[in-house]
Amino acid sequence: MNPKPDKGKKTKVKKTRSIFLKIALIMTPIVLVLVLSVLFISYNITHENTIKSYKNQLRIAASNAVQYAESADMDNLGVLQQLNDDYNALCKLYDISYVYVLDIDPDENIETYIAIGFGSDATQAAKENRFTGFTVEGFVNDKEIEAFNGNKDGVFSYEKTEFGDSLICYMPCQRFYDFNNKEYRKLDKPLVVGAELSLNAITKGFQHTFRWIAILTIALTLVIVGTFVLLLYFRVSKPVRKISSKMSSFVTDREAHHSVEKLEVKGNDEFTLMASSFNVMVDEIDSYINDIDSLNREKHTQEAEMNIARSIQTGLLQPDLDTDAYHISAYMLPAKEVGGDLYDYRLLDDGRIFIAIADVSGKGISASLFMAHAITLLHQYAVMDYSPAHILETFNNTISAQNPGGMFITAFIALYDPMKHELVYSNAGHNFPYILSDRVIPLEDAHGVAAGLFSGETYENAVVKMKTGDALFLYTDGVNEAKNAANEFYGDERLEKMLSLCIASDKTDTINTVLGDLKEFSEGAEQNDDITMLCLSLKEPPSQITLKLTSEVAQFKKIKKTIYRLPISEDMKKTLILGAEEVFVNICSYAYDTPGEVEITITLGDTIGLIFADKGKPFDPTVDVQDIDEYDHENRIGGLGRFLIFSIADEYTYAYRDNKNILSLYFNNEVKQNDDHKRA
Amino acid sequence: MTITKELNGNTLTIFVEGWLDTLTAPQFRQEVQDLQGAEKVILDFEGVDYISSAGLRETVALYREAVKDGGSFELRRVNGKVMDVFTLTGFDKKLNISAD
Repeated sequence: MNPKPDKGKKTKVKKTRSIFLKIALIMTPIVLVLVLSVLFISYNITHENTIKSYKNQLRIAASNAVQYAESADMDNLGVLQQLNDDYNALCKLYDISYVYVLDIDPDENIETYIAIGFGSDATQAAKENRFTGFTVEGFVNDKEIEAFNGNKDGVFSYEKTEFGDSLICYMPCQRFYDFNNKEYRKLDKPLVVGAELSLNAITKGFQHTFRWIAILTIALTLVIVGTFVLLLYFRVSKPVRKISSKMSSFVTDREAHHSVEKLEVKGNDEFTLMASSFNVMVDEIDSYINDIDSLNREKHTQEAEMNIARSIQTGLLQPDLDTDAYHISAYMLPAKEVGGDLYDYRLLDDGRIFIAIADVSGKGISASLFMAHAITLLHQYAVMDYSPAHILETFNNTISAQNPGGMFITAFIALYDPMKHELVYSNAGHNFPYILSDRVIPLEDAHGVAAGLFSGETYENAVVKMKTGDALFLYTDGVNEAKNAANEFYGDERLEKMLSLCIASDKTDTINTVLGDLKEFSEGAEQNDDITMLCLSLKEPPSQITLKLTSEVAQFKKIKKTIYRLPISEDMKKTLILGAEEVFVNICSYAYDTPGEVEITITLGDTIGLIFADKGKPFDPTVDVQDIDEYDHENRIGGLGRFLIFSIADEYTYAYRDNKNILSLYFNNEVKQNDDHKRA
Repeated sequence: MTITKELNGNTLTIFVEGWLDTLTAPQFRQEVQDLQGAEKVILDFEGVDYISSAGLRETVALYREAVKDGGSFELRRVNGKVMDVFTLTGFDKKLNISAD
């Protein structure tokens, strides 16, 4: 019980963590990329704008420088010095690095500094390398040539010089002021003015500023993302985990404390709603579980009671009966714990067999109570020497008088007389039983209405002959009306077919054969009615029965009982019992000093033999049997037994063999048709 | 086996029901021991289904006891199979047996 919730708990916590880790891992780079992109774009825009404004300044500075150059007398060194100063002032005025004027020879790729001014950011190295008259070879570029060719708008050029990156604006200077004639004159070869801005400082400044902005922005982003994650953790993850752990430990908590602690409900967000919903759920589950518990307890009690009821009901039914002459077996399977079917059989004192099968309408408890009542009544009537019709009439009158529920019962009652091989039966609305003889014969006569509804109903008796080896098969409609998974009935036809198969084989196994087929048929379908079967099979009579007894008078009971069960007439039984009694009592009285063995063998057939064997004193009872006319009836009283024995026996022999007295009595077995029970 | 006795004046009627054999004979002997001074003893065998020599002996003993001092004895309503035993043993001639 315990490991399961724990496992669940672990996986849940792990899952929760991974979600927030995922959020943090995904969010941070996305936000960072976004922020850096914005920074990059704004850096570029700002840089562009700055360069643009510098370009204006450079253009203005360059055009000023052109004017200064135009009006300067280049041949005058002093003037050149003046021009240098002016250019220095221009640099400072427009905050640029260099302003110079070049004499360019594009063909020779030579340029010469005529004058130059330095701004505040000009390096010492530049000052030393750029001065009036300094000539550079091989550095004349396209932009300079463009200006040289007359582009007055200013030609901008980014150049990498030995003094760093620069932005330069070139302009042509195409005329000069002729101080002598007081007028401008065109130069034969134009000069080129350059206004140069060293980008090193600017870029550095920019980068410096933007680096700080970037650092601050990234830090801010991280802080925001972190705060967001923490906020999620405390406001979402924690409540979720709390609810989740409550849920997973619900059963264990409940078992440990007999109740589950509620979640705290505070605030007004979704989690408050969830917690309060959880509490409602806990209450509902709790009461639900309590209901189930009490239902279970009730169910257990009920089940136990039903089991008792079932065993009581089973106890009302007879166990299988097997004698030398016949075999009775029965099977009952209620659809519920208890059922409304019943069967009964008993061996009556006169050797007949009482058989009953019945089916109470409905099933379950009500039917089973009715069944108990019915079986008790039938038990009673069985011994009352009534014919089956009479039993049904009495039974019907009794139960219809006490039947407030209006239930009814179908019943088949039969009495089998093994001596006459006759089955007398009567039917109260029950399915026709079958006799399994050379063919399967349904017993369709003497069919009346079901019992229990109308008092005063009359029933008839029908008689059918049976012979040894035949069987009588009775069943309730739970058999032929059993359904399969396709909702089809088992049916009379299939039942009859199975029974006809049983004819050829051992009839005592009929129930198992039918049951096997029925189970196969109804496989996968619910049993909807009680199933009951009963089979009486008549055995071929045994040729002989042997009884092993001790020589005590009380053992005579066993002899009596055995003879009584033989399939012979009542008179024959009494004759045999009389012979057996007299011989047995004599053996008990005289053969042994202390009780010894007596073996009695009964052989059956047209002649019935009673063979007594004892290991007592040798004595031949057949000699000197007195003539009864010479018996002193007035005074004597002994010796009558021996006389009776030889009077009633048709033949007798005595032998002493293997240390045994062997006395054999033989009786002719004449079945008299005029015997005293004509009950049918 | 059940035995019922009815004393009516000087007449004692003994009704016997069941089997009178070697197992029930001692019970019969004990129950009919006391004839309660009756001058006439009637033994009713309507309910007797079976009798053996043991039962016969007790019946004869009862007869002798009843007639000892000049009393009378009557055995009545003896069934076919039981009657055979009396006939076979010749006691049908000695005992006063009536059909009903």
